[in-house]
Amino acid sequence: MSPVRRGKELPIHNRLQVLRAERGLTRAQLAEAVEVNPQTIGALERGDHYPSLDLAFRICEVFSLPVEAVFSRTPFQPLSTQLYGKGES
Amino acid sequence: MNTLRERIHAQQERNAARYSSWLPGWRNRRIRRRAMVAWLVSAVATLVVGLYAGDFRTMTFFVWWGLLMITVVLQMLNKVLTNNIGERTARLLDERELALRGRCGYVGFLVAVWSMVIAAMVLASTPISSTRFGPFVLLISLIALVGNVPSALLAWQLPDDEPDPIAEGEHRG
Repeated sequence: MSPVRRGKELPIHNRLQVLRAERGLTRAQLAEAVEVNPQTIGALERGDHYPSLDLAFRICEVFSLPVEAVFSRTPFQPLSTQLYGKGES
Repeated sequence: MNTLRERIHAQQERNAARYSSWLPGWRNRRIRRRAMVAWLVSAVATLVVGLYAGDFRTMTFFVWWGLLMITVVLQMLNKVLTNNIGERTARLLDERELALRGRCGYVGFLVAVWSMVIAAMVLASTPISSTRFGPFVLLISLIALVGNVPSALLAWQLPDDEPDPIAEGEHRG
Protein backbone atom coordinates (compact mmCIF):
# COMPACT_ATOMS: atom_id res chain seq x y z
CA MET A 1 0.00 0.00 0.00
CA SER A 2 1.38 3.39 -0.93
CA PRO A 3 2.08 5.76 1.96
CA VAL A 4 -0.43 8.35 0.75
CA ARG A 5 -3.22 5.71 0.76
CA ARG A 6 -2.61 5.42 4.50
CA GLY A 7 -2.89 9.18 4.78
CA LYS A 8 -6.04 9.17 6.91
CA GLU A 9 -4.89 6.47 9.30
CA LEU A 10 -1.23 7.37 9.48
CA PRO A 11 -0.76 10.92 8.26
CA ILE A 12 2.64 12.56 7.99
CA HIS A 13 2.51 16.22 8.94
CA ASN A 14 5.28 18.61 7.99
CA ARG A 15 6.48 22.10 8.72
CA LEU A 16 7.74 22.91 5.24
CA GLN A 17 5.65 26.03 4.72
CA VAL A 18 6.64 27.55 8.08
CA LEU A 19 10.31 26.72 7.60
CA ARG A 20 10.34 28.13 4.07
CA ALA A 21 8.71 31.33 5.27
CA GLU A 22 11.17 31.61 8.14
CA ARG A 23 14.16 31.26 5.79
CA GLY A 24 12.61 33.21 2.91
CA LEU A 25 12.88 30.21 0.60
CA THR A 26 10.54 30.03 -2.37
CA ARG A 27 9.09 26.72 -3.46
CA ALA A 28 11.26 26.83 -6.55
CA GLN A 29 14.43 27.45 -4.50
CA LEU A 30 13.70 24.57 -2.13
CA ALA A 31 12.81 22.37 -5.09
CA GLU A 32 16.12 23.18 -6.75
CA ALA A 33 18.03 22.46 -3.53
CA VAL A 34 16.48 19.00 -3.16
CA GLU A 35 16.33 18.28 -6.91
CA VAL A 36 12.58 17.91 -7.38
CA ASN A 37 10.01 19.97 -9.28
CA PRO A 38 8.37 22.92 -7.49
CA GLN A 39 4.98 21.19 -7.88
CA THR A 40 6.30 18.37 -5.71
CA ILE A 41 7.09 20.80 -2.89
CA GLY A 42 3.51 22.10 -3.23
CA ALA A 43 2.18 18.52 -3.07
CA LEU A 44 4.26 17.85 0.07
CA GLU A 45 2.93 21.00 1.72
CA ARG A 46 -0.66 20.08 0.89
CA GLY A 47 -0.15 16.51 2.11
CA ASP A 48 -0.87 15.10 -1.36
CA HIS A 49 2.49 13.36 -1.40
CA TYR A 50 4.56 11.84 1.39
CA PRO A 51 8.30 12.00 0.78
CA SER A 52 10.59 9.03 0.52
CA LEU A 53 13.15 8.71 3.30
CA ASP A 54 15.79 9.99 0.90
CA LEU A 55 13.82 13.13 0.02
CA ALA A 56 12.94 13.72 3.68
CA PHE A 57 16.64 13.63 4.59
CA ARG A 58 17.53 15.98 1.72
CA ILE A 59 14.87 18.47 2.87
CA CYS A 60 16.09 18.27 6.47
CA GLU A 61 19.64 18.89 5.29
CA VAL A 62 18.55 22.15 3.62
CA PHE A 63 17.06 23.37 6.90
CA SER A 64 19.85 21.78 9.02
CA LEU A 65 17.20 20.19 11.21
CA PRO A 66 16.56 16.62 12.37
CA VAL A 67 13.76 14.70 10.64
CA GLU A 68 11.45 14.91 13.68
CA ALA A 69 11.63 18.71 13.55
CA VAL A 70 10.29 18.76 9.99
CA PHE A 71 8.05 15.66 9.76
CA SER A 72 5.76 14.16 12.38
CA ARG A 73 2.90 11.68 12.75
CA THR A 74 1.07 14.14 15.00
CA PRO A 75 0.12 17.72 14.07
CA PHE A 76 2.78 20.27 14.93
CA GLN A 77 2.18 22.91 17.57
CA PRO A 78 3.06 26.47 16.57
CA LEU A 79 6.82 27.04 16.88
CA SER A 80 6.31 29.84 19.41
CA THR A 81 4.29 27.53 21.66
CA GLN A 82 6.97 24.88 21.44
CA LEU A 83 9.75 27.37 22.14
CA TYR A 84 8.21 29.27 25.02
CA GLY A 85 5.83 26.62 26.32
CA LYS A 86 2.43 27.07 27.88
CA GLY A 87 1.77 27.73 31.52
CA GLU A 88 5.43 27.53 32.50
CA SER A 89 6.20 29.37 35.67
CA MET B 1 34.19 12.89 -25.24
CA ASN B 2 30.45 12.56 -24.80
CA THR B 3 29.03 9.10 -25.22
CA LEU B 4 25.90 8.60 -27.29
CA ARG B 5 23.97 7.99 -24.09
CA GLU B 6 25.08 11.30 -22.56
CA ARG B 7 24.15 13.14 -25.74
CA ILE B 8 20.70 11.53 -25.75
CA HIS B 9 20.24 12.51 -22.08
CA ALA B 10 21.33 16.08 -22.82
CA GLN B 11 18.88 16.26 -25.72
CA GLN B 12 16.06 14.87 -23.54
CA GLU B 13 16.79 17.53 -20.92
CA ARG B 14 16.80 20.29 -23.54
CA ASN B 15 13.49 19.04 -24.97
CA ALA B 16 11.92 18.83 -21.52
CA ALA B 17 13.05 22.38 -20.70
CA ARG B 18 11.71 23.66 -24.02
CA TYR B 19 8.29 21.96 -23.74
CA SER B 20 7.85 23.07 -20.12
CA SER B 21 7.85 26.70 -21.27
CA TRP B 22 5.15 26.21 -23.92
CA LEU B 23 1.63 27.61 -23.33
CA PRO B 24 2.24 28.93 -19.80
CA GLY B 25 -1.25 30.48 -19.58
CA TRP B 26 -2.90 27.13 -20.35
CA ARG B 27 -1.24 25.18 -17.55
CA ASN B 28 -4.16 25.10 -15.18
CA ARG B 29 -6.67 22.43 -14.23
CA ARG B 30 -9.60 24.00 -16.10
CA ILE B 31 -7.83 24.07 -19.49
CA ARG B 32 -6.09 20.74 -18.92
CA ARG B 33 -9.46 19.09 -18.27
CA ARG B 34 -11.05 20.75 -21.31
CA ALA B 35 -8.18 19.55 -23.49
CA MET B 36 -8.60 16.06 -22.05
CA VAL B 37 -12.36 15.98 -22.77
CA ALA B 38 -11.78 17.34 -26.29
CA TRP B 39 -9.21 14.61 -26.91
CA LEU B 40 -11.55 11.90 -25.57
CA VAL B 41 -14.46 13.03 -27.76
CA SER B 42 -12.19 13.23 -30.79
CA ALA B 43 -10.56 9.83 -30.12
CA VAL B 44 -13.91 8.08 -29.62
CA ALA B 45 -15.30 9.74 -32.77
CA THR B 46 -12.19 8.55 -34.66
CA LEU B 47 -12.81 5.01 -33.46
CA VAL B 48 -16.53 5.03 -34.29
CA VAL B 49 -16.00 6.53 -37.76
CA GLY B 50 -13.08 4.11 -38.22
CA LEU B 51 -15.44 1.16 -37.85
CA TYR B 52 -17.29 2.39 -40.95
CA ALA B 53 -14.32 3.80 -42.88
CA GLY B 54 -13.89 0.70 -45.03
CA ASP B 55 -12.19 1.43 -48.34
CA PHE B 56 -9.68 4.30 -48.43
CA ARG B 57 -11.42 5.83 -51.47
CA THR B 58 -14.64 6.56 -49.60
CA MET B 59 -15.64 9.88 -48.05
CA THR B 60 -15.88 8.24 -44.62
CA PHE B 61 -12.18 7.42 -44.82
CA PHE B 62 -11.27 11.09 -45.32
CA VAL B 63 -13.53 12.06 -42.40
CA TRP B 64 -11.72 9.42 -40.32
CA TRP B 65 -8.33 10.76 -41.43
CA GLY B 66 -9.32 14.32 -40.46
CA LEU B 67 -10.56 13.17 -37.05
CA LEU B 68 -7.34 11.22 -36.54
CA MET B 69 -5.27 14.33 -37.21
CA ILE B 70 -7.37 16.35 -34.72
CA THR B 71 -6.92 13.55 -32.15
CA VAL B 72 -3.15 13.56 -32.65
CA VAL B 73 -2.98 17.35 -32.19
CA LEU B 74 -5.10 17.16 -29.01
CA GLN B 75 -2.92 14.27 -27.80
CA MET B 76 0.17 16.47 -28.18
CA LEU B 77 -1.62 19.28 -26.35
CA ASN B 78 -2.39 16.90 -23.45
CA LYS B 79 1.26 15.89 -23.27
CA VAL B 80 2.50 19.49 -23.29
CA LEU B 81 0.02 20.58 -20.60
CA THR B 82 1.03 17.68 -18.33
CA ASN B 83 4.77 18.18 -18.94
CA ASN B 84 4.68 14.74 -20.56
CA ILE B 85 4.95 13.13 -17.12
CA GLY B 86 3.09 10.10 -18.45
CA GLU B 87 5.77 9.23 -20.97
CA ARG B 88 8.92 11.06 -19.96
CA THR B 89 12.05 9.07 -19.18
CA ALA B 90 12.39 8.24 -15.46
CA ARG B 91 15.68 10.14 -15.25
CA LEU B 92 13.82 13.44 -15.74
CA LEU B 93 11.09 12.75 -13.18
CA ASP B 94 11.14 13.15 -9.42
CA GLU B 95 9.63 10.63 -7.01
CA ARG B 96 6.11 12.14 -7.03
CA GLU B 97 6.05 12.28 -10.82
CA LEU B 98 7.33 8.70 -11.01
CA ALA B 99 4.51 7.59 -8.71
CA LEU B 100 1.98 9.47 -10.88
CA ARG B 101 3.44 7.93 -14.03
CA GLY B 102 3.25 4.48 -12.44
CA ARG B 103 -0.40 4.87 -11.43
CA CYS B 104 -1.58 6.33 -14.74
CA GLY B 105 0.60 3.97 -16.78
CA TYR B 106 -0.96 1.00 -15.00
CA VAL B 107 -4.47 2.19 -15.86
CA GLY B 108 -3.26 2.80 -19.43
CA PHE B 109 -1.96 -0.76 -19.59
CA LEU B 110 -5.30 -2.20 -18.40
CA VAL B 111 -7.21 -0.05 -20.90
CA ALA B 112 -4.85 -1.23 -23.67
CA VAL B 113 -5.33 -4.91 -22.82
CA TRP B 114 -9.13 -4.68 -22.68
CA SER B 115 -9.25 -2.57 -25.85
CA MET B 116 -7.33 -5.28 -27.67
CA VAL B 117 -9.75 -7.92 -26.39
CA ILE B 118 -12.73 -5.86 -27.59
CA ALA B 119 -11.01 -5.13 -30.92
CA ALA B 120 -10.35 -8.85 -31.43
CA MET B 121 -14.02 -9.58 -30.77
CA VAL B 122 -15.14 -6.84 -33.18
CA LEU B 123 -12.79 -8.13 -35.88
CA ALA B 124 -13.99 -11.67 -35.40
CA SER B 125 -17.70 -10.90 -35.42
CA THR B 126 -18.22 -8.16 -38.04
CA PRO B 127 -17.67 -7.87 -41.78
CA ILE B 128 -14.87 -5.39 -41.03
CA SER B 129 -12.44 -8.33 -41.03
CA SER B 130 -13.31 -9.10 -44.64
CA THR B 131 -11.61 -5.92 -45.90
CA ARG B 132 -7.86 -5.47 -45.69
CA PHE B 133 -8.21 -1.83 -44.74
CA GLY B 134 -10.73 -2.23 -41.92
CA PRO B 135 -8.40 -3.80 -39.32
CA PHE B 136 -5.71 -1.21 -40.13
CA VAL B 137 -8.11 1.69 -39.53
CA LEU B 138 -9.44 0.05 -36.37
CA LEU B 139 -5.95 -0.52 -34.96
CA ILE B 140 -4.75 3.02 -35.74
CA SER B 141 -7.91 4.42 -34.10
CA LEU B 142 -7.32 2.25 -31.04
CA ILE B 143 -3.69 3.32 -30.79
CA ALA B 144 -4.83 6.97 -30.93
CA LEU B 145 -7.26 6.26 -28.09
CA VAL B 146 -5.19 3.96 -25.89
CA GLY B 147 -1.78 5.58 -26.37
CA ASN B 148 -2.81 8.77 -24.63
CA VAL B 149 -4.63 7.31 -21.62
CA PRO B 150 -1.80 8.04 -19.11
CA SER B 151 -1.50 11.68 -20.23
CA ALA B 152 -5.29 12.08 -20.27
CA LEU B 153 -5.59 10.78 -16.71
CA LEU B 154 -2.84 13.14 -15.62
CA ALA B 155 -4.53 16.04 -17.40
CA TRP B 156 -7.66 15.31 -15.40
CA GLN B 157 -5.91 14.78 -12.05
CA LEU B 158 -3.12 17.31 -11.84
CA PRO B 159 -4.03 20.16 -9.47
CA ASP B 160 -3.58 23.85 -10.07
CA ASP B 161 -0.32 25.32 -8.86
CA GLU B 162 -0.95 27.20 -5.64
CA PRO B 163 0.51 30.70 -5.51
CA ASP B 164 3.67 30.92 -3.41
CA PRO B 165 3.40 34.03 -1.15
CA ILE B 166 7.19 34.06 -0.65
CA ALA B 167 7.88 34.12 -4.39
CA GLU B 168 5.21 36.80 -4.88
CA GLY B 169 6.77 38.87 -2.10
CA GLU B 170 10.15 38.58 -3.82
CA HIS B 171 8.69 39.82 -7.10
CA ARG B 172 7.04 42.79 -5.40
CA GLY B 173 10.04 43.61 -3.28
